Amino acid sequence: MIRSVICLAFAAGLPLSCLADSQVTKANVDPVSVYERQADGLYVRTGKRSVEELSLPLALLEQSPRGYLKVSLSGQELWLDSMDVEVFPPPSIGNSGCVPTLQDSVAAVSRGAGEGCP
Amino acid sequence: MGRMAACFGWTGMPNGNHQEPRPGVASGQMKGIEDYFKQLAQLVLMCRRPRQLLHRLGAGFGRRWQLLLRYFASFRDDRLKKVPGYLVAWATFSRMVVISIALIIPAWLLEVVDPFGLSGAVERHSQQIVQKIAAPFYPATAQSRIAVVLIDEAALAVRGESWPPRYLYYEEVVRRIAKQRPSAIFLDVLVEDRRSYDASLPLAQKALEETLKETGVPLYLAVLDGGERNLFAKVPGTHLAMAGWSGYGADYPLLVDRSHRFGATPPESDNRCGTNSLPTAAFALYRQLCERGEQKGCGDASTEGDVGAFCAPMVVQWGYNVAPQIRARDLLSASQCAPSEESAGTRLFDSARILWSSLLASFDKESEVQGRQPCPYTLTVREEDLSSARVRGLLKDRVVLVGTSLAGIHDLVASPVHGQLPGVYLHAMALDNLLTWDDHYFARAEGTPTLLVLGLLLAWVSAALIRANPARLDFLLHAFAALLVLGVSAFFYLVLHRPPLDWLGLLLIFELARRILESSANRRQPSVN
Repeated sequence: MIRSVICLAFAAGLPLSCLADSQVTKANVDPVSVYERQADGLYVRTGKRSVEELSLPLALLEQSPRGYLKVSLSGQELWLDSMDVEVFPPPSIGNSGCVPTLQDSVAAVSRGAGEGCP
Repeated sequence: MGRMAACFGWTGMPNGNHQEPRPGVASGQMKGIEDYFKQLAQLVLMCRRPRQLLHRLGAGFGRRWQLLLRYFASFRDDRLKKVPGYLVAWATFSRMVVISIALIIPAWLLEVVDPFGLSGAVERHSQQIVQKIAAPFYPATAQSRIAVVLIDEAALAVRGESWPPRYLYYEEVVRRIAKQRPSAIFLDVLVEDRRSYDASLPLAQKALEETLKETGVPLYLAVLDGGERNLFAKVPGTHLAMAGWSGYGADYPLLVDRSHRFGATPPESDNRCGTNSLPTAAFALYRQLCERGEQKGCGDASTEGDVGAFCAPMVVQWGYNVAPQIRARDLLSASQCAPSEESAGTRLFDSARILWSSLLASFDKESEVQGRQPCPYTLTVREEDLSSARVRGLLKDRVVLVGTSLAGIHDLVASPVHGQLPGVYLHAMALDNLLTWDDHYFARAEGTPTLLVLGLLLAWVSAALIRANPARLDFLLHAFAALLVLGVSAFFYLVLHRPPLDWLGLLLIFELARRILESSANRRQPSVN
């Protein structure tokens, strides 16, 4: 039980500890687009900042699964597209997946599309 | 008529096909199970005397060997030398007409009536077998110029979306691809419905416009009609490309006119290259590359009005060998995509393995599975990997096609090489075919005149052979028919880039015609004697 709690605590703390050390070290484009996270979880571009303005390196505060990185610039929190910048240490690239190539499979079903169309 | 029967050579002529009655079994009688039991009992008894058994086995082997030698020796028949002379004889031509009628009438009936859909099924199967065998030799010329980005359940889950994703998600995908400077992007998703619960449409349209303006990458949007309903169609920098059609069977049209649009009922006689035709995805992307000078040998494709060379629908050829970057960058699981060697020996081995698995399709399911390529031919990137290091720089100067792979979304196509694949691979493969062969792609063409000539040639040589009546006539007839049909099929496929002939069907029809004539000759035999 104690071991499980320790493992869980370790697992929960690991990403934070990793992020604490991560930095945005380089920009791939100039200027770099900056984004704002909306309440519905979408990221909207609010403007652009030159690389000089960003004053790299920047500490990486948060990494969104949608592919954005949160940094703090002059006390203001901003989101950057992960494609526009380089992070060090490089994040794990994860496992490779598969493409389904089927032979005798049948799917007599339709994927639900949420609420009905207007 | 007796003379006709005799000239067909199936009435007791010394052609080696006639079998002597076996001792112990009366002529015309069939063996019963008790006869086989007797033989089995004799064998068991003999097993108790091994020396005698060995002696008999040795004698049997010697007898078989002699028979085999005699069989091969029987091909050295002087009557074969008469065949060239018979080829130009009037009597041969008159028999050629009879054989042609026996060939053409069943072929025509099968073509017109197509009983139980058998004729069509055999034709499709013939062509698929050739496509499968040829797939390992598909040239990889354009493999480095095309990529597919797949949106699957895992990608949607990672990005915090479900199906259908919010409009802004598409902009994110397009933006991340466009930043890698591809030649063009094709979004193989219909975005036509305004959803009241998704307020991101204006944001997506604005962001998409900015992205396309900044990067200068053209974006092609999939449509099934004129594109009036497409929600991104008015965004500057976007173009439309047809992703669905009617009336082409399994072929891939390059231009779709109004009467062949998805859901329409195409007329019987139609002009498939009307002025109001819209390009399909592969052709639109190909034309884009031509216009930008990135594809040599485009011909008429670069001019909008003159597309005559691309009117015929394409019979898409599928590649077999896996793109090397898939393994080098670990883009897809190693269990699905093994690295492929591209040596001639390996290709030949793969081709032979596929042929073997096609032969044993029903007998050995495992062999059939082994003959199938589980890994797509086109370089594939999962959407969730777009911003990861493994994809960096990979999409530069490629045409990128974005498609979905979701259970319950029936966007699947059948590939003779892979089985079922997400539909976007059909567009990718058709584009690959165009970039590889330009206007010399594999086109569907009217084959009746060829079949007629082939039938006459087959009938002509068969008539001469039958008149010469050499030993092993049946074998010679079959061998000639197989060589001719397979040879012409190979010529069509390899040189003219036409789908191969229905070689299975043609050989079956030849056998049917041969048996009709043989049966007719045998029925008349008593009047001779």
